[in-house]
Amino acid sequence: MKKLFAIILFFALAQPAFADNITVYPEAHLAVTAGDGNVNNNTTGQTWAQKRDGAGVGVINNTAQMHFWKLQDNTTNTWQALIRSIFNFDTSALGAGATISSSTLSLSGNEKANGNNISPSFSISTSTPASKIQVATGDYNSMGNTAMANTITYANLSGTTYNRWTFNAAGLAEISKTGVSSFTPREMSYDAPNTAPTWYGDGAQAYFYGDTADQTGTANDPELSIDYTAGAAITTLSQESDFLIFE
Amino acid sequence: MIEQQIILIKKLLVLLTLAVSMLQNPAQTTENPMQFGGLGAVTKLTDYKLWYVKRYDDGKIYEVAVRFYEGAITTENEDVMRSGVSTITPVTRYRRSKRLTKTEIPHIPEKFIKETSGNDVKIYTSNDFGVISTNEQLRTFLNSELSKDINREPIAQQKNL
Repeated sequence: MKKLFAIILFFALAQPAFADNITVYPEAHLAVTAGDGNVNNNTTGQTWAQKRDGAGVGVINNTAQMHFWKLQDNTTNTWQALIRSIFNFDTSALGAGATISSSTLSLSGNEKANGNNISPSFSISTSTPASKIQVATGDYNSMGNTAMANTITYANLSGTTYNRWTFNAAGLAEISKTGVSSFTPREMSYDAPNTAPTWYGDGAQAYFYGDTADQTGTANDPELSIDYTAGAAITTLSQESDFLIFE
Repeated sequence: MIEQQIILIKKLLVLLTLAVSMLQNPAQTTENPMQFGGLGAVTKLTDYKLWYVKRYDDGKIYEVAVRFYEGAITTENEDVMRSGVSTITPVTRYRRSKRLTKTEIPHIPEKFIKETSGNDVKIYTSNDFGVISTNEQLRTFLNSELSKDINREPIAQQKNL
């Protein structure tokens, strides 16, 4: 009888598992947990291999806008600058018991360019920066090469509004439920697959430029939207003496 | 006669103090320095940024985590993209100089939680802002919270009109 009562009570009190949503934002400048920024290899006259796999030489992490990605040509068959960016999100508010069902990462674009005629395309990939608080030069080579979301072609890339990437299963698995999640808008035609672009002309550049977490206000911040089911509020049901105890 | 001289000296001291204050804090000016206290008054700016916004599956917001900052409008060099050319250019805009702790924003009531970094984050729930769904409704509520700060002026972008 007690078992039957317990079962009835459990189903009466247990909440149906509706998917909630949490939208998480990187920290603005003065970040102490999860900031954003870009890292560049701005070095004259490098081959593609040197440019792609070389070392970062500079960072930007306190401006309201920045290059999310950029490739600038230099003298014949060499490159001047390659810039990559990292966005850290403190997703610990999900909680260890959360079940993630879908997620979208959105970046607000301000400008795009295809001056060197390479038409870059972008997906989302992971990043493993040494510190998730502030981007550092050593993070230049911390980007993964696997597409964790859909790919947006240059033609469909917005230089004026939000660009939204929907995560695939691999991307969902990279979202931390107890800590900070790090992602990069990864260029998928040349940078990630290591395919040398055709040199176009000295100074010519392709780029994707937009708003950072340091932007004034909150309307254009980078954002990670996650649909999830929270961990069960009633985790165990036990019985002591004649009383049912919910823990 | 002596009383008049004392009053005059007091006025001069006040003006001198204000002048020294302005020289020591040239960046801490508001968009309208005359608005609070008249000539020479210096008011710090404040703003908020979101850590997260939680919604039910019907879109209604039920919990928000907010960080509050203090800053000023300053001019600094930034890498700016204009007409396809990236240049280091002086940019005048609001910049945050300090993350505010809960003791520094007494006008904001409980409840605060600690981030993993140990910093204070203000938690608002639907008990505070009522039934809302849109980001615009949330901003209107948070702007009203920001306006309660008697020591700082909200940035222009976070003032309710």
